[in-house]
Amino acid sequence: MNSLTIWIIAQKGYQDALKNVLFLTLLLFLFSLVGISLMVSAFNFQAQVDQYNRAITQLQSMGQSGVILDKPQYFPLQMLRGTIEYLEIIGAIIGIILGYISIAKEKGNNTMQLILSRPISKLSLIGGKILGNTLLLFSILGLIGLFIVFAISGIGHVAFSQAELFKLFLGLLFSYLYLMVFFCLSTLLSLFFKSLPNALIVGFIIWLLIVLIIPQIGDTMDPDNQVPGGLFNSLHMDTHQQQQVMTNFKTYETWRNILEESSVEKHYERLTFATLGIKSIYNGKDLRSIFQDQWGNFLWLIGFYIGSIASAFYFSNNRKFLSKSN
Amino acid sequence: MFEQILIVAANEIRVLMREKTFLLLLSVFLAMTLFSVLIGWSTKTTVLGIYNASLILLKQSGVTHLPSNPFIMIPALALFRNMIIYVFLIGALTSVVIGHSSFIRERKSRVVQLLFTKPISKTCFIAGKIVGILAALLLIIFAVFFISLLSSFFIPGQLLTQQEIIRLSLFYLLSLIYMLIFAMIGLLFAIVLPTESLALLAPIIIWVAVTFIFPELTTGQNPVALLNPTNITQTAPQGAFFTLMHSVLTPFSIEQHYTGLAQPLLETQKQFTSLSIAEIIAQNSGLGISLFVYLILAIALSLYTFYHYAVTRDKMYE
Repeated sequence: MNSLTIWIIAQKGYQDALKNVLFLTLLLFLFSLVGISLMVSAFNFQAQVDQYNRAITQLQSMGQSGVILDKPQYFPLQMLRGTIEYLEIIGAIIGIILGYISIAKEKGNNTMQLILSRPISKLSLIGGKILGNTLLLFSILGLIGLFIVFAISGIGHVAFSQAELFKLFLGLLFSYLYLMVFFCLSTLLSLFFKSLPNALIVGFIIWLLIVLIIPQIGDTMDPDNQVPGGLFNSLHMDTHQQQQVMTNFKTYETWRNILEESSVEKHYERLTFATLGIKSIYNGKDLRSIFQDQWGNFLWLIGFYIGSIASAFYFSNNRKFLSKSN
Repeated sequence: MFEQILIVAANEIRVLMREKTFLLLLSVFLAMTLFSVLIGWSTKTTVLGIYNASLILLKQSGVTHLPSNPFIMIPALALFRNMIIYVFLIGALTSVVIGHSSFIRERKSRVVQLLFTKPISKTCFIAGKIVGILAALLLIIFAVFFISLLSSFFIPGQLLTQQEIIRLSLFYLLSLIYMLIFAMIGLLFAIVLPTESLALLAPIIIWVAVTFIFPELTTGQNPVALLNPTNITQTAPQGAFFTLMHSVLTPFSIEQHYTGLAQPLLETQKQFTSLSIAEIIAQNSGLGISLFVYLILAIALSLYTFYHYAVTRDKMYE
């Protein structure tokens, strides 16, 4: 592999993506969604504060103290739940589109054969594509990070602490790992399928299964999700009692867990929600204690990432893959 | 004229059945229909087991006031509640692909340019396409309905009553209308947009907006929370912003109209079990009418764009 060749291919891939209408449309869509999700979170929080103030006023008018009520607490990183969920859904589509356009352009213009007739190895070609899109995804996620910091600290007048900024950085880094899994998947599909649109449709089907269907089945099978507010809450049971009851249903829980763990989305979500403190039990905790709990999901995410990059290199080195054209 | 329409429609079905991507999507949809009953049944059985085990534990720990069973008298149709989600996820995507491929195929192969040199009118051609799409979706819905009936008999081992079969049929009729709207959106963009991938992506963006963004803006719930059947009940918005969004966006939120009607039909909650079919239709007629209006609008837009589609100036590239 020649590093200069890889760099040139990476630069070309970066520039090509920025000229692609499909990608730019999706990018605009993602930024709008990030904005919408932040706005919805802000209004949701405002509604909670209003409700709290109304309850206090009502209690005071009845001559009672409002001390018994917990004041809603504002945690900037908890505002990012919608943003992360949109990265799970639309971010993954962006990964698929990037993988698709990085191969579709070469296949559609029949430049793939021309490039490979030059002294450029297949590994350099795919390495350049991966590097270019890594830089592109870092740029996108960096912009999203800046947008979040500006929107929350600039408009909401809430300053981020250093620890929170670092957690945000980690959240975006995990997002990169997650998006690259879809990029590699789509690259492989585009290389494998003779018809490029079929590759895109199959990519969407896999996306639907991994991002929406499998986690949905896992959530639906969760006994605590069967009753609004939680089954165990409705039965007034504490954590110890819950664990005691659930020991009799280990097989069911194991199957449910296997199903959820087969989806990279679930690992990404669990890890990011814990790191950003979106899941309340991790809110305000230091990174060491969060990672003590979440190292499994971290390893899974890294595993999916390395596996997908390795597959992209391995299969693209296969002559049959690169010679198929539209 | 009718003969020509039927020829185009029959050809549409024939070609569709040879498309591997469509067959893959169809397989996923049919498999998930089967799984939805299996998942519903196993979850219900397990949760009832958990409830009984919890009662024993609570009694042992001296609790005298035992909570009532939250799952008592669960209607048989509630087992199908996941189907609402699978229709607006897999069903809608399948429909988009059907609508998209029905016209993009002709553009890509330049058949559409050749076709109009023959004695076939634009009206016959587009009507044949729409009839073909409708027939394909009808076949899918029949297959899904059949699987639902069989699985409800074999998995929980219970026969649905006549009333329940009528409710299930109405649910699938509603799903057909919903899916047809997305098929027409797929067709519309396949006519209008210059590239195949953009024509596929545009309806998917609309689908994402309808499925995730509108419900989030009108209810304040997080996007993925709406995929949990216990969460998709329309929650009353709180605060001025959500009230405004609710009044502005709800008329356009097709997914909410669909779930608003589908939930009482499938008796997903106890309060729906006391309602008769006539009462459900009477209470939710507005939602049904609006879905129908959206369908007519999507068909009209597809027809309009097709009549203005300049066959000789199509510069489709990919």
